[in-house]
Amino acid sequence: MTEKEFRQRVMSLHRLMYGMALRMGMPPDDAADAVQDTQLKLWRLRHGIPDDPDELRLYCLKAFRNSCISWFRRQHPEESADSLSDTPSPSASDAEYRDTRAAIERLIDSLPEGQRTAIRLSSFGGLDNNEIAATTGLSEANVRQLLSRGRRKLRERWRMISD
Amino acid sequence: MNDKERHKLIGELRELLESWYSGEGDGTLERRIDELFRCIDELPADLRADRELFAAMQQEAGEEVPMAPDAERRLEAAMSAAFREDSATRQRKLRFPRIAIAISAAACMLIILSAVTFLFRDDHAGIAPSRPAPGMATASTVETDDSTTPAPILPARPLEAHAEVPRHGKAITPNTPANATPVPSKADAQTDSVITPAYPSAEDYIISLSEEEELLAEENYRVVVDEREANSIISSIFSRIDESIDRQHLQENSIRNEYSHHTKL
Repeated sequence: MTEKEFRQRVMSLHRLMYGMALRMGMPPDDAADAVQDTQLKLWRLRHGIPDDPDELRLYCLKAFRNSCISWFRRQHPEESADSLSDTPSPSASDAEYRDTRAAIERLIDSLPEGQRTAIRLSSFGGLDNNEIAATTGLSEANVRQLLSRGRRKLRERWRMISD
Repeated sequence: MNDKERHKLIGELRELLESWYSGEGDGTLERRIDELFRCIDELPADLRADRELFAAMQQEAGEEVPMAPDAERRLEAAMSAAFREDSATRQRKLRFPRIAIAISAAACMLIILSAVTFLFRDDHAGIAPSRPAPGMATASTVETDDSTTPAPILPARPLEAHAEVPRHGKAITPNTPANATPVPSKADAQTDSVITPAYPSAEDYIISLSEEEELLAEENYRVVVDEREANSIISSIFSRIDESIDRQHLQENSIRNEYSHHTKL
């Protein structure tokens, strides 16, 4: 793959990667660093990138996801599954939550750290429970419990807002 | 879709959602839930919030988020540096083979030129040693310290011709090369000049007697015409040579004895 082809086909995915990292809960600076590291790695390993456009996209996003998992593995949950404390739900009118997507993002951010990380890795990172357990250092049972609590809490708060 | 099917799908959807809210789920579960939400046209009211929540929490692959300008510049700078480094590495890898090819080509040319020069030089010089001119066979003399020992006359390399006494009865000595002035040996000085047979054939020596005598006279040689006289001179020369060799052997033995005596001490 030449430099020109790489710029057109792989470097053009950097904004998509960046958005994915943000939705997974990474800070903007760390997300930008993860994007840069992944792009450099893909350039070094460009001979293994598939030619098919769909496969190339999946290949690159999977490589980026692995970079994000590595970042999460270096972070440890500040709270364990047993010591979760619920943060109060934000009090806001319907006007602030007009955008469903943004509203749910805010609800996710209001969750405790452990639940928030597990939900973001599962929903936006595409990781299954085993991978989340390996990334966070928790057991699979704890991961399942975090996901259960977080999802149910989101449903309750969202029903309160939408009703 | 009839009501029965719709009811069945809704029942399946509720079960799957319950599993999902219990923390279960891999890609297969979530894809099936998403399919059911899409195909069921009329959802119960209590499931509409779930549909909105579920849809918002699924990763949307097409969403791009622009990076901060500084981050964009850092990314571009890092990638440009990587491109330049890769280009320089490829240039270095290409340069070595080119140099190696040039050196190999030069070495091959040098070898070919050397081989041609060598073969060409040998063809002109001739492989076989040149034959000496008639009557001018090469010889070398050895000077010894013993004044009584006549200098032996070493014969030159044997050539193909046989030595025969020329028709006019003279014996011709091997001589130094034509250009050099022959140095008469001590034996010659004592017994006057003696001429022994040379290597080329007899016909090569067929020159007039007078011409040969003139040549030899110029070089302080005397021509012995009488065969008997020549044979006697030759015999005396060889006897002196034998005596000289015997004396040398005696000297060597005495030196060897003296050395072994000193070694024993």
